[in-house]
Amino acid sequence: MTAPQVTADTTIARALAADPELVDRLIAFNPIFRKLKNPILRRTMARLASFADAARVAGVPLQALLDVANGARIEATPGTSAPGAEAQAGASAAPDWIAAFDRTAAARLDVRPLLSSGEDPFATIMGVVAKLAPGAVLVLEAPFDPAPLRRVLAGKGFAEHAECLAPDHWRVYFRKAEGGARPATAAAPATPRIWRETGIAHIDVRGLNPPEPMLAILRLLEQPDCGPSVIVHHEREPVFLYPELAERGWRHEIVEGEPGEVRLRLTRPA
Amino acid sequence: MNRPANPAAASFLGGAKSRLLPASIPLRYFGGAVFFHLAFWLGVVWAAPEIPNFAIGPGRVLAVLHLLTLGVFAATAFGAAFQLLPVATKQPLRAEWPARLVAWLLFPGIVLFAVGIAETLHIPAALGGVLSAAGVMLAGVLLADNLARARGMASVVVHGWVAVASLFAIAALGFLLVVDQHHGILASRNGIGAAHAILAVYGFMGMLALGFSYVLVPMFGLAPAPSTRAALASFAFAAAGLALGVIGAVLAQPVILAAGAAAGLCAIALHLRLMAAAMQARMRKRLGPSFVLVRIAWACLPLSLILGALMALDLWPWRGPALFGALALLGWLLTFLLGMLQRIVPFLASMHASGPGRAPPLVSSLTAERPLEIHRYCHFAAVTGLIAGIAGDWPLVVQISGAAGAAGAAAFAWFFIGTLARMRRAP
Repeated sequence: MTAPQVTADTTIARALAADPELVDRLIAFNPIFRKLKNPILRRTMARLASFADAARVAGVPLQALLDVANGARIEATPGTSAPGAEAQAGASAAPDWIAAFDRTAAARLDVRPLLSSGEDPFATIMGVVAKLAPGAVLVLEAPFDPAPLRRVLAGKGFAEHAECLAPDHWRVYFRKAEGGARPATAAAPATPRIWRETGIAHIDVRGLNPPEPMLAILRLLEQPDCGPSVIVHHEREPVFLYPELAERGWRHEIVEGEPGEVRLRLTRPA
Repeated sequence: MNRPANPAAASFLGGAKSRLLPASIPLRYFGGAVFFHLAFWLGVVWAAPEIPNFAIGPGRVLAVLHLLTLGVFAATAFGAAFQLLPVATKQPLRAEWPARLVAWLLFPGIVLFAVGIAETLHIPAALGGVLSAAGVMLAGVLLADNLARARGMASVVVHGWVAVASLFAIAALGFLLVVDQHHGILASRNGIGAAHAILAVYGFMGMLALGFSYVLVPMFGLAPAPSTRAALASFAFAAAGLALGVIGAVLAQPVILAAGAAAGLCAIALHLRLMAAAMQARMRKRLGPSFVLVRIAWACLPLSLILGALMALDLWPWRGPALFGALALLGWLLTFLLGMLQRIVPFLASMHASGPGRAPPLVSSLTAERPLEIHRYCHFAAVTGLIAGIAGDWPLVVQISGAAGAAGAAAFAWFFIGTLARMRRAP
């Protein structure tokens, strides 16, 4: 079977699942990718980090990384395997607010113990983030550069800056914008959101308690104008939905989504 | 055109991953329950002469009773809880191996314990008690750990906490009863025995059944989730009723016991109203025969509490404990669990038979209707016959009812094994 084309938005986990030899090619390309042998990282970070994130974190050209991901074998060069490359890549010059913020008033969170116990720290982080006052700073300690989280919070209006203190210790600063986070993204939805893009129905059920996501999706599928294809935006793989889809003659496939999202395309065979 | 919000609910790490356990974990518990279900009804045939006049104490009837409570109820509860609690709490189990270990401790423990107390063999009874208690405690720790990390579904989580607390209390009181059997340390053995039974029936199993109903009934009926506020109100009555029931039993205070039953009835009235509302609003019009069992179980639940209150107030003249046990354990809990298992097992099998690029087999194609039909008739005949046999003090009727129950249990095992075979054969 031919592995699908890897693009900048493809997640590492998806590419690794489709191509078991990829991890060895990546390590040969840049030893930084030895981290992918770590089961915790493999189970967590790789699910969310895209190749664009990986190129930024590793400090390698995106196109070269994509070439490797798509089958090319490129051996490490001194320039790509230098220790500390990850630190240089993920971290950048500190912005002015890093030196200026009140360290005694900053919220602090160390997610390393949570991750080492296999626990998902997302709820904890978002709980702390939600309580931040405008202009307040969260100092996050993590065992790696949480590039997807940085991207998500940056998208919500947070300023962010990462420092690599050790190969397994990153400190990331998030500062809430003075005007607060963007309201459109501040809260999980209480009801499903349904809209159309290029004629295809989309439904976002993230944040709903079970069995509401399943119900909302099935209600949409039963509407006469729903069309032959529906895109579902979910926060986890809805395994309990699949038998119901099969009973109704709908097929499902997982497609590329945003970080942390499971996106499904549902199709009704003609 | 609305643009979806940036992923406010997007996970930092792993939040998107499936919380579906390997099929072998829930199915081993359901398989164990199916096995002990058959063993229980065969045990009823064996112990029939002693059942109508049963009073709490070691012997055949207590052994058979534990085949049901530990072998069927606890095993089903653990299988369902390990699979469903992570869905409700939105947190995966911390590790899979303890969920496997619980079964390795529990199942041999039940067998040894039942043989030991039936034949008054102290070493097997003690060893079995320790093994099954260890399994139960480990399961309690696993569930408590998951509940402590819960992020949602308060109505399920609060019921779960009381169920777990009850589990530890059941184990502690059970241990006291075993020690008392040999050393006579308890001032009121009957009171502790009654508290142990109340915690087992209404504390652990009852709370799990009520809590998971808020997920399972809407899921199988495709109905909106019941109001959390109303579910919490029902829970408050249920918890108060449980506490009053246990206190009343330990202190041998009939009025407190009856007050507990009254609070329990309020809880059930609210709960059943929520279930009825969900049933009315459901999208799936044909619920199938499994919900016939569920509805009968719902009817037996308040009847068991009314009988319990009458017994506490000394207003029920004869064979109260045996009738109460038949109504609460068989009419309500066993009937409810078997109704749910009929839906859960093919549903799980369908989910586990699917894979990347492979549509799951239809649930209906995995469900063998014939054995379920046989089971349904045998089950109703067995339960009603057993109640009649106890009420009339007719051991032969009890024995025939046990045989009907065993035939039904064999049919249920046929359904279970058939579903697994169809799952393996699924394209």
